[in-house]
Amino acid sequence: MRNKLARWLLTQTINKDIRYSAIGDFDEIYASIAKQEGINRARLWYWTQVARSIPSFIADSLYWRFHMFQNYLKVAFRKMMKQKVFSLINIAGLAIGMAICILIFLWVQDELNYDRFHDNANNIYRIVMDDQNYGVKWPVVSIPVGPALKQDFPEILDMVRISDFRGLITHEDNKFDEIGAYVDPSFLEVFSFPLEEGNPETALSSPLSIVISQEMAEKFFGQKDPLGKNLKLNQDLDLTVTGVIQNMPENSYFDLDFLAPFEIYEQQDHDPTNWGRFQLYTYILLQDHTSFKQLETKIAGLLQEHDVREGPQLQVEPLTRIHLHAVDGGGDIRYIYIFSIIAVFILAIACINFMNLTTARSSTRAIEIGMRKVTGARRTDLVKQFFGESVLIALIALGFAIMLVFLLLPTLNNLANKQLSLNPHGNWSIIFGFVGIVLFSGFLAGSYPALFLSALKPVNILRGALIPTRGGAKKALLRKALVVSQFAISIFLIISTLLIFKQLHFIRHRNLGYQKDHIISVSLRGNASEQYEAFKNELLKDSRITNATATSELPVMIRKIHTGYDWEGKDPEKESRMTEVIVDHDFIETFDMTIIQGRGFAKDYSSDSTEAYILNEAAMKGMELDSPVGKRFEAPIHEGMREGTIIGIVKDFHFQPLHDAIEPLVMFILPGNFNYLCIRVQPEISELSGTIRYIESVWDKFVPNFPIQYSFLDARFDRLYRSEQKTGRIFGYFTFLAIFISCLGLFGLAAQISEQRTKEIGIRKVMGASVSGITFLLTRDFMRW
Amino acid sequence: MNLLSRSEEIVLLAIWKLQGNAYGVTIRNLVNDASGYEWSVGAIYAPLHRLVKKGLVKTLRGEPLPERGGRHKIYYEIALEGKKALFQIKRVHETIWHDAPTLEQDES
Repeated sequence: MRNKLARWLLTQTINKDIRYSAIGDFDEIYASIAKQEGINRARLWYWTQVARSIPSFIADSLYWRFHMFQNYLKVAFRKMMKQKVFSLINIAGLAIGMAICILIFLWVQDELNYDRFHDNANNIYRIVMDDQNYGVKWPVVSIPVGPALKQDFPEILDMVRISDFRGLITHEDNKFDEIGAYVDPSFLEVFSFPLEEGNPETALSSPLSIVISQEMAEKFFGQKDPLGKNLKLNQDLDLTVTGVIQNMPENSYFDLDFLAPFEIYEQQDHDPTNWGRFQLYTYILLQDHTSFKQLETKIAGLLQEHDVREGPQLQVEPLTRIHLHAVDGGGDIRYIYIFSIIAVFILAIACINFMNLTTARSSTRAIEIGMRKVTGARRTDLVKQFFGESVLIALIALGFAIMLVFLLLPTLNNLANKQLSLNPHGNWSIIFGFVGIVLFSGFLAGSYPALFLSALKPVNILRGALIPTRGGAKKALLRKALVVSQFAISIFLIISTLLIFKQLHFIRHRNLGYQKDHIISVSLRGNASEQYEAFKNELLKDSRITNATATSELPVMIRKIHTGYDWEGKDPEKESRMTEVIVDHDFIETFDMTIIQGRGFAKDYSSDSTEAYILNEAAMKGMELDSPVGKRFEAPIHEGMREGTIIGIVKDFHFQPLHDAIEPLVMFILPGNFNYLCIRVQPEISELSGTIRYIESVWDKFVPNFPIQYSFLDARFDRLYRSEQKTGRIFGYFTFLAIFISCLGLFGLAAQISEQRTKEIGIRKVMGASVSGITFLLTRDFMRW
Repeated sequence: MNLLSRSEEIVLLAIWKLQGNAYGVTIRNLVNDASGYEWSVGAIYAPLHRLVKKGLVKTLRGEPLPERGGRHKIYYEIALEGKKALFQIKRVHETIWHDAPTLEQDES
């Protein structure tokens, strides 16, 4: 027909009550205009009329829909006010559940978004060295790997080598320790760290340039323009500031304050043709749509082509996976799974509360349903009403949940060491998350009343033949099943929490095999290593310092693994892999370790500093020697083998995270290779600050150029397990809340049921039942759960 | 009882005036003539729908017409409640106008 589209639009928008009449009018006027002024005018009229009328028609439809909605809303609010305890429990439970969900959601979102802000995020990969012979997998490769890859493989568009370090930066009188890196100039192109000032193309091209962060620029130059200023790196290198980058965002794997050109690194005695020294990070930028797995098979054997011993293979790792999947990433994908599951559990518990309380009250609701049906409500209307009601309650709960989130967010940020915020700007997924949570909990919680109650026959309801007779048992069964599953979840969470706390307790109180308390470690920088002996003697003059020693690595974390040791009676076929630590004479006394065979290092034996070895128990077992003391032992030092004797066996101590077994360890003295000075101080807390001042003054005398850098060994130890402890604490809070919500629901259910049984209790009392008897009667049902 | 809105009042008055010949087209014509500008069909029906729902106006089914696409005319007729409402409005108007200074349209 003529105006099909216009007609269709009309029928879609007009409320059905007036549709018939209004469309008739349209046709009639159309016909009369067509007769008088011609069909075209009529058609024009029809269209303009439709266009002008549709807003009114839509407003009209909405008006009536809203009218009914108002009624639903009114009833819902009345119900809520009438049943205050019930509503409170529902809303409180849901609000807490939702708040936890939102918090976890924010956290998960933040974790998953690590390093995704780079424009090239999906094309940046890191090269990893995987040495299966030794079970070592670490994301460092040798200097020539990067350039060779770029040259040989056209799909690799660019590469960046990064060697990060801590450097002392000086400008006039300002002196600060900063973490920075030597990087290839392509760094600024491959990664998206925008320059605030300076030209990204030339900023790192001169070998004497340095790019600093905004934060650092402010620290050194305040409001002044930093470009062109001079900065001294490690007291001996004058660099010119050529650029200022924005501070690296919180959710970035990198956290660098300055970038220096890679050429400086190469000039520092790092042979650019040495393929076998794994010392720096290498990132590559791939072409769009290139499979990194394919590339991996092509480059795996690259090192062997350049005469590196059998073993190390190259692998490729996407930048966006580093945070959650890599060995050195700060996050852990397992935590993401665990916490997501907890979020769902807790929300489920809250929804079960809602369902239970609603079913328990269904008999009162039934009469309303009967009335509505009698006055002409269809089933779909009722379904809509009940879903609407539970979604409404979910919405109110969301309001409270958002308030709770604002309250709890600082605590979570503190615990998780993050900068999360509930900022919907530019974060659409949060909005979707909110809508999702409301709809999910609203529909889950409202499903029973909406689908079951709406099906009741009004005749039955109003006649009084209510559900309790036959459906009652079934309904109670459903309720019981829900409560049981609710508590099953809670108990599961309790058990998990207990396990975690037990684990944490184990870590804290485990005997490590050495004393980590009252030890201050000072990193030996500048010329401190050379002056170590004099420095140490000066320190020991003070009575508050009981012992001092030096080591290449701190005993909380010794990682250097070597191979190629030899000893008397060694099976030539056998692998000789050991962890190695270079120590000073009094290492064993300072850390209070136990010698179980032979002796420790001693100054009396002059040969100790050149040819003595101490092994741990694990090494002794691995070597299959019964009496190792006095046997010949050789270690590879500086390209050659150093021959010596085993002088003692130290009792096993934990020099690696407690998750790992104790591995074979060898200790020996090699002056000039110390990185840390470890000082044992008197345990009196009151003396501590004085002692530290003394250590600082001695340091300043010997090493005036570098500020002292010290830490407490036990604090370092705790830091190793900090993420475990935090996770444990957060887990504990969540479990507590889950139990709280379950109990809240049970309490509500109990209150509801006792209320329904008021009459029964009255009669029982009249008949002579005691209070304790009734209490027993009422609690009996709940004890079973 | 709440007072009617202006559009409801006008439509209700039109139905009263048309006395038995009030259906969509005639109501709209009358209102158009009286107000001096063209109301859209939707603008008539929105207040009409509310009047019907409030029970101020009853509907009657008329004869089917070919130019209406074979549809019946739907006549609108004032109900008792509608009469009361109209009367109330009239009284409010008269009471307020009573003793008010005469209002003349400014020629300039």
